[in-house]
Amino acid sequence: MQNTSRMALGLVAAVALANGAASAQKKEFRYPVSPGASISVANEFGPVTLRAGSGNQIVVTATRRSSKVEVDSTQHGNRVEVRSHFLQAAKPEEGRVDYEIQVPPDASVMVRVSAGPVKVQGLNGDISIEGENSPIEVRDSHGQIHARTVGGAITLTNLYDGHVEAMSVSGPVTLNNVAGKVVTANTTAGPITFSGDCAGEGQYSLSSHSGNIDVSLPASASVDLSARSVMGSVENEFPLQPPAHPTMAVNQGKSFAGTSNAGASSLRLRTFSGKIRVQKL
Amino acid sequence: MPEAEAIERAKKGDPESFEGLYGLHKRRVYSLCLRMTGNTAEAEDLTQEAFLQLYRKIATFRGESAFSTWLHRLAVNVVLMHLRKKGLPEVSLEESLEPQQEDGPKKDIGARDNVLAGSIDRVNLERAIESLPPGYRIIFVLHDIEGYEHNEIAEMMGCSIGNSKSQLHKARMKLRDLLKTSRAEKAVKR
Amino acid sequence: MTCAEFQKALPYIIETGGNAEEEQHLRECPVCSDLVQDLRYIVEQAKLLVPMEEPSPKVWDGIKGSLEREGMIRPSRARGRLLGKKSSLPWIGALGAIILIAFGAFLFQRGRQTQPGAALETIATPPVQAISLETVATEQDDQQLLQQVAARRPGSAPLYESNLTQVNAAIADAKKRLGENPNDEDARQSLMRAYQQKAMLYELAVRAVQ
Repeated sequence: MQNTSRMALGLVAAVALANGAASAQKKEFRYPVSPGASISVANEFGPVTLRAGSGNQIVVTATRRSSKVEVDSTQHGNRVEVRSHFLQAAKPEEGRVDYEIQVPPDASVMVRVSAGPVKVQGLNGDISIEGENSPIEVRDSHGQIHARTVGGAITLTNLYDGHVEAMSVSGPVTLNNVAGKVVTANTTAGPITFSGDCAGEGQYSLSSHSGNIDVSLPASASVDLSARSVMGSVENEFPLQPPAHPTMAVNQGKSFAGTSNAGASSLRLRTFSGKIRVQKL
Repeated sequence: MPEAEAIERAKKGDPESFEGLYGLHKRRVYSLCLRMTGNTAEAEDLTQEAFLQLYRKIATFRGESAFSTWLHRLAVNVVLMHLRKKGLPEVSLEESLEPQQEDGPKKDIGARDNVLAGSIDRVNLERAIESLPPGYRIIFVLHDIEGYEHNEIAEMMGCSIGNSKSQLHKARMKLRDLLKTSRAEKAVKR
Repeated sequence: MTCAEFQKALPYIIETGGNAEEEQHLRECPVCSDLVQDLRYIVEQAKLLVPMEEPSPKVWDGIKGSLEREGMIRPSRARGRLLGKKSSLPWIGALGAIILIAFGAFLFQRGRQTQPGAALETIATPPVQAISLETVATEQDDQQLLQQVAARRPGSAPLYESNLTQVNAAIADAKKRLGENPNDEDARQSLMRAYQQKAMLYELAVRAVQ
């Protein structure tokens, strides 16, 4: 008797993935571009992420959450414009569009958002981002970088050889390893946090009206540092040599100045009524 | 300054109220002129002319209709007069109500096509409107965008109501073709 | 009824509806049904087209010039708040520009005394015009800005209101300090930065409502 071993047919259980975003619609736009391309993105709700991609093309992937919002994406020569617009009144969740965009590394980028987070990574062209409450993050990039928000947090990480400007009224501004010829951060009430070596023989200026300024420097930092708080206080735990030619009156608890190593970069810390603290990394 | 007050003060020659009225209505008037002419420079000239006529006639505004309606009608007349002077084809008075040969047998008779719903965005629609022949564009803008009724359009254009409806239909059909072509081109690009 | 017959009648029935035969054809014919659906969709989308374009400032300049020449209005006198050249801009945009200009004017050595050996400031300055700072961005202008934001972007209004309050407080602080210590360069710089922040806030708000 021949036993026929019967192979049980494996039933492939197809797992029906619950489509949590049943009304989400994804669209992809691809645009061939030549070097020096630019893209502008305007989005009210939803995240915008821009990364360096390969090849001479801009790829825009837009996922909209409802049919109440439409994506306009057009190319004019070497310039791409992407914009979300409402077809009718929509709540934030309905008006949300998520953008994932890949651009050539040298592309210039301009982003205007209201509430959605913005992340930019690995780009070398000009970057300009404006938001209301949006958290903005730029990392691993260099070039002209401008970030402005009303209350959104600005976080800049690993930027080098650049011209960097970060402005927020009440949002916190954080700079980690940001170096360049000109680095400026300014807030009215938002705190500013800086850590890095201030490389590049640049001019670094961190100022806030009432926000605190916290700076952490490695011992190797080559800086000519001055700090003053008009009505607040200052605290220094970083070793500094007194300046050879003082340009600012030193007032215990209100101001201090000095150089570290060759003093190649100028680091200027100013607040009206906040607290300034400098410490060693 | 509330509009009613601005109107009363404008009647007395108050410059700030002139500017105020301009600020309130410039966008709508300019958009109308631009959509009807498809030309920025012409639209700006016509906007200027419309407001000048407004200010010259404002003393005669008695409030029988809403001010914006009155201004709007004035702007439409300014544009139409300009187009007549240019000799652009408007609605033909002798327009046949039979389907024109150029339209041909409907291409989609017997063949179904993907519907447009959900695929039009503002930019494409504005572009398509801009591409319409002037006569079609005027009718479409007046009826479907600006909300004039056929009897009003017929009076403004000096044609029959039937003619107005026929031309509007052709304008919409042309737009449909333009939008489908544009959609197909985008799909090819992907 | 054939499609050709239906489509011949379509211009006259699309808004009002057709007779029984036409309606039946519409129910039964997918081609004509799609056509009507497309045309109605186009009409719906057209209704949503809001006036988006703005005429250039020269349009108003032309109107004003003509009205003055015709004697319909008196030639405008220079007003404290808006400079002649900027008056043709939307007032909010003009205000944003003027705040930046005022920031530059303030930098224009108005009571500024350079300390011997003072480090040179390398703050970029916009073109300088001599106007009174006190006339720039008054409380009334702030209210108008907030009203515009509230009207067009109600969800963002509290954010702009609270941040404008903070910026104005910063300006007031710095002005007070400068009033008591006119030679305090850092207080002066604080005031300039506060104006710069206010200009940025106005600019972001203007963009948001546009």
